[in-house]
Amino acid sequence: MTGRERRAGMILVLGCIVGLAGIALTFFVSGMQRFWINWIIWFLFLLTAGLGCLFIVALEHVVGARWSTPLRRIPERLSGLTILMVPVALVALFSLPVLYPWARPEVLRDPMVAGKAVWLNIPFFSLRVVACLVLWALSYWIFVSRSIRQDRHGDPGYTVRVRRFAPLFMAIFGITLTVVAFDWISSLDPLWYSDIFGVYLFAGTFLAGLAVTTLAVLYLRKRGRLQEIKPDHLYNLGGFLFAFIVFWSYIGFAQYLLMWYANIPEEVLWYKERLSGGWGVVLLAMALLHFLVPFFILMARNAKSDPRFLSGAAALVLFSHLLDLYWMIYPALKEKSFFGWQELSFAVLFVSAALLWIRRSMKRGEDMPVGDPMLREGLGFRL
Amino acid sequence: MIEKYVDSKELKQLLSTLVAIVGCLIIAALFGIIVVPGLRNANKPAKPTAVAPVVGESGWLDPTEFPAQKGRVIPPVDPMTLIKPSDELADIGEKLYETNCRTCHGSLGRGDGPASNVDPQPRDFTAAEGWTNGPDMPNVYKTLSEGIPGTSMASYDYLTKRERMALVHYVQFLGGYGDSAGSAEAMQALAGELAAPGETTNNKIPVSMAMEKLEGEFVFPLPLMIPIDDRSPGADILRRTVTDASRAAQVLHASEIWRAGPDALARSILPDIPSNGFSTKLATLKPSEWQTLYDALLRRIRPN
Amino acid sequence: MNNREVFSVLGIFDSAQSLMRAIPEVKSGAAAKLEAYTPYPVHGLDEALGLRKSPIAGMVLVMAVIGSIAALGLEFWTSGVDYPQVTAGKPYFSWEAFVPIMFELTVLFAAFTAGLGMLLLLNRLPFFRHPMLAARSMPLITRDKFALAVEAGGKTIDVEEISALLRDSGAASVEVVESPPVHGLASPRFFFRVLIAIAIACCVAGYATYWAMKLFPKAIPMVHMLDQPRLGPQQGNTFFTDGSGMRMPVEGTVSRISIPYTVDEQEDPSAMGNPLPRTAPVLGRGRQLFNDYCSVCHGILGNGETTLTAAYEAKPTNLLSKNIAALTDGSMYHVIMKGKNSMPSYSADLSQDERWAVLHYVRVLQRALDAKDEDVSSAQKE
Repeated sequence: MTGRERRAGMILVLGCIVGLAGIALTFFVSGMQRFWINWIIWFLFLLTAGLGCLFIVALEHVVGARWSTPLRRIPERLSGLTILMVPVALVALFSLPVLYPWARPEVLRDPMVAGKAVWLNIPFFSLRVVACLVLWALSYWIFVSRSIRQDRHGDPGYTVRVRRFAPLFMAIFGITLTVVAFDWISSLDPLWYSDIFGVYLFAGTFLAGLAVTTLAVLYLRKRGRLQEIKPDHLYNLGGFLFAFIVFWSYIGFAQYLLMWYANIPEEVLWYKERLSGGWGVVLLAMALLHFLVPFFILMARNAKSDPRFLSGAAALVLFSHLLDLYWMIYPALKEKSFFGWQELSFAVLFVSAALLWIRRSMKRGEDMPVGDPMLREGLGFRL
Repeated sequence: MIEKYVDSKELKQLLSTLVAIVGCLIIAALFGIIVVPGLRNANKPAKPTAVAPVVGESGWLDPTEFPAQKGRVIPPVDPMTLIKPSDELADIGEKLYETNCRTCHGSLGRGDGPASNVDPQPRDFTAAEGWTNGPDMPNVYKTLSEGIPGTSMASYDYLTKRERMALVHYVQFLGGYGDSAGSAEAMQALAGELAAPGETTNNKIPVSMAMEKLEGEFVFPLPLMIPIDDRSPGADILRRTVTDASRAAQVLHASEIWRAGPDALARSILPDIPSNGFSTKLATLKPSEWQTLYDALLRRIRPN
Repeated sequence: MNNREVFSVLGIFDSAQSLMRAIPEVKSGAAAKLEAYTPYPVHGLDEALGLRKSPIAGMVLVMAVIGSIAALGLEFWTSGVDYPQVTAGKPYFSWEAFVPIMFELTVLFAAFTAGLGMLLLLNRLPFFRHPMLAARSMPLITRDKFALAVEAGGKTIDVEEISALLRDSGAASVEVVESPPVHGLASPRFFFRVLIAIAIACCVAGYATYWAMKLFPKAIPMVHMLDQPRLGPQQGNTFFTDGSGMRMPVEGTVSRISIPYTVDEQEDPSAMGNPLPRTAPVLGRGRQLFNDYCSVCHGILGNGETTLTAAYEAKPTNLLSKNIAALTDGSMYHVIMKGKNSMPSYSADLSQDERWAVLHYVRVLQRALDAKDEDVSSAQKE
């Protein structure tokens, strides 16, 4: 067992090295634009996965859910991805003059863009990024580090305090995630705006968090851990996935329908870019992989608690969330080609790094929050 | 596998319910597709019938679709019954004046009818001077039959001789000319014309048939041919000015007046460019070039 | 026992555990259908009783798909085929706009199937008097007792044997529930007959209203878009200084595809020829334009006899008179361009080709009402 683990670790480290070499090559061979755009995509992908997990934890505390208490340690550990993204986000600040038109002085002369300069300028943008990172790290510490400490002493006071903090976190989460959506994605095209964009990213974020949590739970169960988790718990995870797949499609389609109907140039151009030149196929693939296929996979009652169906749907949703970010961000480059060894090396690097980080964080604390007073009740949960 | 959910009897019941619902939907759809559009067109006859006697402007459903009718021969009458005024003629004259003349000449013949804003002004019958043909019986009859060219006085040749004479009497009555007859020769000529046999009303055919006739009689003129190796100045100017060879040929066949000379040609084709197949470059042609164009066209377009 | 039919035999248990323990024994002992009545949902009861799974999910799926397709078909037919109308510059078949309605109809069909299918098809409602409601132990069951019922299901069962079986498997007491007599008016059959009668009455009333509207069109139930404040053609209006509601093009306006008409009063326009071939489409177009623009004054036959004469005291020119027939196309074209007497210019209303097409049709009218002899004889032969 340890031999196998060590081998897996070696492979991941190797992946990191190969990926690093690949992205360095990308930077010097394919140009900064391509480098930074991939950097942003992967930064946002892992960030939303981590934030989604943090949201799941907070959701349990806000609504006082008990069924999810035995599962809670998994999203707590996975939300460490947010911390991993702190240096990545700070590095990503260097991409501003390369990718973001509003950060270039010659574009700023456009009166439409200049009108937004109050919000879109490099100092304020960096300030927002740093503020968001601080808020997330603080929330992570409040939710996770202290929850792990509770394993040892079993102090119920922690649960009381954290349930008082959780509603506040919801507000922080909503605002910061909207800021992320508007700043990092929407402002790539500073003339485009969509009121619902923050909600759209939230739908993707929550799905990504649910998907990684589901995959991690199913993986641990397969490896013989978390045996106390019953199909009834899995059913709830599947139900959440099922519901939010529909939510994501609803928001995505509503955004598209309104812009399609109004047909205002500055709104429609964004979609025009993302429907022409192969990107239309990507959107179609998203409609299938992000909605229809997992929808019908999870539709039957039994499928929601069947590990095979559930893991398939979760993997599809996670992949199509990456596709979604790719589809939203990459066309800003206005290049025809959109996949090559450059993209592959980014995938290798970030997946390996994330898996290494998750492997390390999976050793933190017990597999279940054993100090939580709700655990017993949660384990007894039946549909 | 399905037995896990329903037994066969229930399955039958469920399927029959499904069939009933789908059947209802299909019936509703068929109703919408077939029956409702049928109702919408309920007022239209199933087959277009050529003649259907219903009350309309000219007594027919489609006023342009009347039955073909040969012109009626009006038997010649004694001219004296028309020249001599009578109550009968006076009645006809008053009615016809009301419908045909009053709008311009006014009810009292003072030239002040509601539509008297024409140029030149309608005649005031009571004014003595300025008559083109004169107020005498033969002259008024001539005016009615031929109209006065260059004015708004149209020809009323579609009225019968009897009707025209009734109007003549009425006009003379309004103008206060009694039955002034004018010269004896003119009266003689008028009497002879009135007595002449062979007056007929017009033949009538339905408008759709007239359309077919005119269409059938139409011969497509040959397009204006300009051989590619023809390097003569005429061919050259044609190439410059003709944009649509078939239209140009049609225009020049439709009216022969242009054959009178380059000026007539200019009057014929210049106002209607570019719709008539000639280019707007025509407007810049010099007189000598008009002559060349005229010669070239005269050579190529055969008289009808 | 009297001759009433036995509905079921109830075994009353004190706890959910004893009920659950008894189920396998009773199941193996009696070949009849089992049912349980408990004051609260007991986990695992469905599986223990071996109840079959509900087919409602499949029914809902089928009907949802049908609803979705029905909505698509409806929208495709109405806005794509039967009454195509451009909305907001979008294509007739705009799937984007159809999605919300498809969604609504999917939900509608699914909800109705779930609700009505469950109540009417699966639960066999309306069920006016369930025999269990008359059971003596019903008050206990709704409070703290658990009942296991062995149902007769229309067949005769050995009451004694089953009572013994239930007692053996731990029932505190046993009750035999009989089917009560059902009054004819309280039967589902009667209920459905009433429903069908109401539905038929609705249809009849609807069709009667429809035909009444059709036959007496003066009775307009909903005016809505029929009654709009607007100016009709030729209608007067005090808003403009000339008192006319109709606006003319600004002085000097020319159509983009034509060049200005330069022939004035002194020049002779008669030399112009008609550039259009006299084909059926041209004549048809001319007829339509004549009827639209010219027939108002000149009459549908061009004879100058219209209602206009009676209404406005005008006597428009009879286009069939000989001196009009003698005019060339060019001279008449000039009248269309410049107007004459009371007739305004129609240069703004008709395009160059349309004017020539109208002139072709005027020739048709002249021919129709002053036909050649052979025309009449050939017509009479037909």
